[in-house]
Amino acid sequence: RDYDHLFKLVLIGDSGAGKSCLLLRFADDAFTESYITTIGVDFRFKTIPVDKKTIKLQIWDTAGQERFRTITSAYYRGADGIILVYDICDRESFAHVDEWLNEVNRYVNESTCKILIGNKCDMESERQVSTEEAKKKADDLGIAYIECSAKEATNVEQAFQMMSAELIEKRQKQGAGGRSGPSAGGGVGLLQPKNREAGKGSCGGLGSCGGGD
Amino acid sequence: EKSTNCIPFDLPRTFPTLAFFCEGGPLHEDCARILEAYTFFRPDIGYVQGMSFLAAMLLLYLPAYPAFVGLCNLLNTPSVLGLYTLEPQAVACRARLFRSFCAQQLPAVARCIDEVGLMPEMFLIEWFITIFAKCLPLDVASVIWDLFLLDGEVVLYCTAIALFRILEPSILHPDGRSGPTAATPDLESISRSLGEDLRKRVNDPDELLWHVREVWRRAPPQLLEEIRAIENTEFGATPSGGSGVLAANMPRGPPAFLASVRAALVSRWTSR
Repeated sequence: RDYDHLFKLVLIGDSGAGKSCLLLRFADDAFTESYITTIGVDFRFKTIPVDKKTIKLQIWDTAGQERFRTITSAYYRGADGIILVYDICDRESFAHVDEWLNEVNRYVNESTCKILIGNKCDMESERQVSTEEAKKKADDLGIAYIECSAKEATNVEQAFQMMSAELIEKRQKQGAGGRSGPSAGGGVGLLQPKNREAGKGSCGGLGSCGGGD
Repeated sequence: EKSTNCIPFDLPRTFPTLAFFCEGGPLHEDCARILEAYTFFRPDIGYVQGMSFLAAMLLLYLPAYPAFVGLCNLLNTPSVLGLYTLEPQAVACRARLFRSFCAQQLPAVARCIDEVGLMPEMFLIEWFITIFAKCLPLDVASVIWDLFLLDGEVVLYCTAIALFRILEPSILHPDGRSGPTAATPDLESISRSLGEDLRKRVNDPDELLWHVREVWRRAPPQLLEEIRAIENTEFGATPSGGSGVLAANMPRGPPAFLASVRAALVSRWTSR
């Protein structure tokens, strides 16, 4: 294989926060004002060098609308990192940060790496959430915070670098044996379809994974 | 209604290449009004992402009012409504049917999808709730819409399988080669096939129609029956209390309208 580590990251956050645009910027270094609405899920891959290691990121982009939570929750499983995006020009999307975290914590392990991104920081004149306020929020939640602009390519690469570095460190700490198989019962680990399929029988679908409650 | 907040965000993101639905575009106002009207008509459902593609598609062919009526009728069928409520059970049983259909028609593809860990829900939801309006070029999607309005949900499965028939070589042989040194498919290569490759490769309505017909012809009758049964099943609680009054006040036009569309389509279809 042509990489040292494979990490599964999931982008979540309100509809219109710019999740797909961040991903497009990161994966293709492109931007479009008229990105197509994400329905359900989309994914992209990108291999990047981090600390002399080659990291392959498998990034899942989810639909932001509340109605889709019944299905998107199934995609959180096995995530190594969660990227929570809000729009700095939309206070409501910031207000929903707690809700998103609660939602995601029902499906992933507490130790799953999380990061908060305030997107659209190029639109300073329309800002509704100050950097200080967001930073404090992230500190209270114990997660990292970074402001990005998918449009102007500000900090996008850095956000993914930051997350990857943290994930590598975590994996090196836990994986003394070197082989990075998912530990039993843990939400952290590689996406290993064959093993997972065996684990959950013929399910593999939303029937038993989606509803949760 | 909270869900209407999404509408202004979604309109410019609906068929963005056409520029009809973005702000200032000729159909922007109509599309927004139709979707808002729907959320008032069915506050229990509200606006769900994906609906903008249905409204937009109808508006490309019809004036605003009949398009609104058409949208309501479309969303009033247990089939489409079941998909839009995103009831886990409604989604799961469709994914299951797709799996067995795919295994029967394209065993190698079915095995491959399973092995890389791709769940059918991941692409089916988008394909089905937009009736392929998001993933296919407009002229190709229009033909599928015709068929769907005529024959219902079975068309969605047949189209999905037909797409996999067309994409089979690119899915099974990501680098175009076979043999021991060829690249093996993985989640990344398959998602590329279903994304870029699909748009590039599937651009001939007649070719797709031919495949849809072939799939349909080879479908086991028992599977078709199962699809029909699910098509007419209502999942979860479908509250209609709040919308009862409005429903009663709806003009009696809708069924007749749909019937005339169907009649027009039948003649078009049979003359092909």
